[in-house]
Amino acid sequence: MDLSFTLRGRKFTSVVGVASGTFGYGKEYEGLLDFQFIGAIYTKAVTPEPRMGNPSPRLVETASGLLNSIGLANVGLEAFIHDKMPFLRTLPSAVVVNVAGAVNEDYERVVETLEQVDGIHGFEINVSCPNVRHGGMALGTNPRLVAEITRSLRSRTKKPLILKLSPNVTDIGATAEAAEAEGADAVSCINTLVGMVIDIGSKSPVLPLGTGGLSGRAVLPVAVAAVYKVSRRIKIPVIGIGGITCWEDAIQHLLAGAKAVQVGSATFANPRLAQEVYEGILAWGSAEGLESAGQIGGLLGSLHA
Amino acid sequence: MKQFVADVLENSVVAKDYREVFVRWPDEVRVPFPGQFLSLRVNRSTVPFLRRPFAVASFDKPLRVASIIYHVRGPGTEILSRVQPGEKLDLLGPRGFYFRTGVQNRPFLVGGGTGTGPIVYAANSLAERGYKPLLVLGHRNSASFPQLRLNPEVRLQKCTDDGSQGFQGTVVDYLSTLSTEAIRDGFVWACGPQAMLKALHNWAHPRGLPCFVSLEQIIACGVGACMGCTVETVDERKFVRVCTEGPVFDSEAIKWT
Repeated sequence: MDLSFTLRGRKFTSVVGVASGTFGYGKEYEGLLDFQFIGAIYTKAVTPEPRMGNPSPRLVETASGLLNSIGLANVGLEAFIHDKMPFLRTLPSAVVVNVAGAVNEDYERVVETLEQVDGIHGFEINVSCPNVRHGGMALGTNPRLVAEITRSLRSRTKKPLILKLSPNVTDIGATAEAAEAEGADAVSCINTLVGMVIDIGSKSPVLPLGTGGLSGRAVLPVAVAAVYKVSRRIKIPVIGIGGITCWEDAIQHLLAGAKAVQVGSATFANPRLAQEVYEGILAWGSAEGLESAGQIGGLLGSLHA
Repeated sequence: MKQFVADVLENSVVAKDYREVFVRWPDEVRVPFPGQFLSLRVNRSTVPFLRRPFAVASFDKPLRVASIIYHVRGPGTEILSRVQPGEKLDLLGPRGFYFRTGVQNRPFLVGGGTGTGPIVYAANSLAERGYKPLLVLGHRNSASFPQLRLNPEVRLQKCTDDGSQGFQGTVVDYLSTLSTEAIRDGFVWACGPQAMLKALHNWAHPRGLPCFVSLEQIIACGVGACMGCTVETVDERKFVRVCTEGPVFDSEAIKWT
């Protein structure tokens, strides 16, 4: 069974990727799993300048999930190129750089600079981070702004361009259509959901900024519904992300219409998750008599109502 | 650092609400240094969603048995408390910047609460290397003191809030009774609640004693990837990760709030 995935003529060896923010710059997981199974490493977000991120605490565990407010802490563009790329380049996985910023010029600068850097397979545009005041979700919840940034970045790269969508909208299909109309090659669906945890002892939100982004098994049904909805509105591939903690969860995403998946915060408990998901999809698909992972979406039964 | 499965040999009560779990350490995993931690996955479900980090409390080299002491206080440790001998634990580690000796040769090792386990391991390790550490442990009362297996070269001073055992007062109250002569050429290693570590830093710093503290933080990945476990440093431009640059830090590098 063929588990590869092609985007803008570029072949990814596996439909299973590891999500931005949960896998650092790859090196952190060296020796903990076999990178052969990872089709793409979506890097920690890269901004033009280094970012310290938000004050602590940055994490709260929730029921089958995790609320985070990291705030795009990252080493910045220069250090990414010089300190992180040399290792990433040695891996069998494709390197997709997650790009973030406060204003459109930040995104443009990162993409323009990295377009010339060897070993980068594509860009995932983070217009959906809920933990920053500027850029991030403020962009990604407005289809007009998504269209604008997609158009601008499309003119700056020949590599696969993926827009990472925010679920914190009324109609996620509208932002997906805006990305598609301006030349995006795919969308990743979904980023984290805005959430809050309040400590009833101190009567204050646990996270210093009040809210954070919810991920983990708790969001799986939300993510699957978003993938289902978006994949029926656009023709470009949807990359399913949200709540995958085992291969069965990934199959749900693929049945809903995703052409590839990303595993995220569940890697923290199970560093080998991406590998296990790959092996699970392969075994399941082979048992179903499939020739490729791309056929899985076609197996979804019709609705009864 | 490795991910590995270890057999549980014993999981027993060592004080009120405290337990110690012993595991067989696989030959292919290197011996943990004092101050290093392990991330435990307590079950295969998504509750709890994260691993739990614990610093090593003992390591028996001939038998290759490691232990951690934990406080049963939440869903993760609740599940851990029910693990039986013969079952297996999924571990990730050992990991982190550990306690390291400098030029000073009079060790003051200070622990409180859940910090007791790791600091006892550090004290025993120093004793094995020829030091004569003073181990100062603080607990609420005598019931919460774990049973300890100490090297005979370790001198123990217990402190309790209510005076039910040892010195009545905090560990820093006790240290403040020591003469300048008694702390000459000393260094401090500590593990325990944030308030204790801060008070300890404020005691050690003006006296010129190097002070290394093991910090607690909520840890998600435990491998340096997620940037979730950061603490602020005195360098305004810098956060550090407890799981990677720590958990042991020079107390002077930390911004105490």
